[in-house]
Amino acid sequence: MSGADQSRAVNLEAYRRLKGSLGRTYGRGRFVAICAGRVAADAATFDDLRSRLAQMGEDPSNSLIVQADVDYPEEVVIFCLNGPS
Amino acid sequence: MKAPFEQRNTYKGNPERPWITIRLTAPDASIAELELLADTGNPCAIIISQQHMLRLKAADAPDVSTNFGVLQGGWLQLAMPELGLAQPVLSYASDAVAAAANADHTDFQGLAGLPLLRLVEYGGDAGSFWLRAVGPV
Repeated sequence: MSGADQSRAVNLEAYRRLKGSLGRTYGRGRFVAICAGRVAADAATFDDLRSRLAQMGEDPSNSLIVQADVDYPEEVVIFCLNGPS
Repeated sequence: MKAPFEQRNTYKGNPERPWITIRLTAPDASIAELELLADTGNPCAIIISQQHMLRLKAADAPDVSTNFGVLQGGWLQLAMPELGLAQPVLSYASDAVAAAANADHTDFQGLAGLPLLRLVEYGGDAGSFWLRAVGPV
């Protein structure tokens, strides 16, 4: 597993652990960035959050960004195509 | 009154498919233009290859499980002001989905689904599929 993949896996695991409390802590709809397995910053907009991360020396492209209290789909079916070969 | 901007694309592929062109801003500020098969039944806004996602993502996002396996989440930055689209959109990476779209026409580099299409007006007729801005932009 590459460094970027490992970092992504750590951030996804942190998100699964924290997602139930993000809304209470940061406010519903707030953009939250997770870096190195912890919440690094939050902001009202996606662009503001990316700017804050850059100011902190974090690479936004390798941060996990979510909106607090937004339910992202965990399982979906893709009908249009004929399915995996 | 000026008519809203419209992107109209003649169906193509075998079988014939509706499609759209999207433009995205990469983190290095370059602009990428991709043709995507339009699928109103697809619950993911955009699905592209892992290589494209790696180059274009503004940030990581949660993954999703599908009948094509796990799709990696990422935020892509839309750069289509003529349609009123200039926001980040939750998207996914999957080489399997991109390859399946590409099998219908070699120009297709992935899928565009309902969460993207519903940001504008969309529709089709006997010959083409179109997108229109919602109101003045």
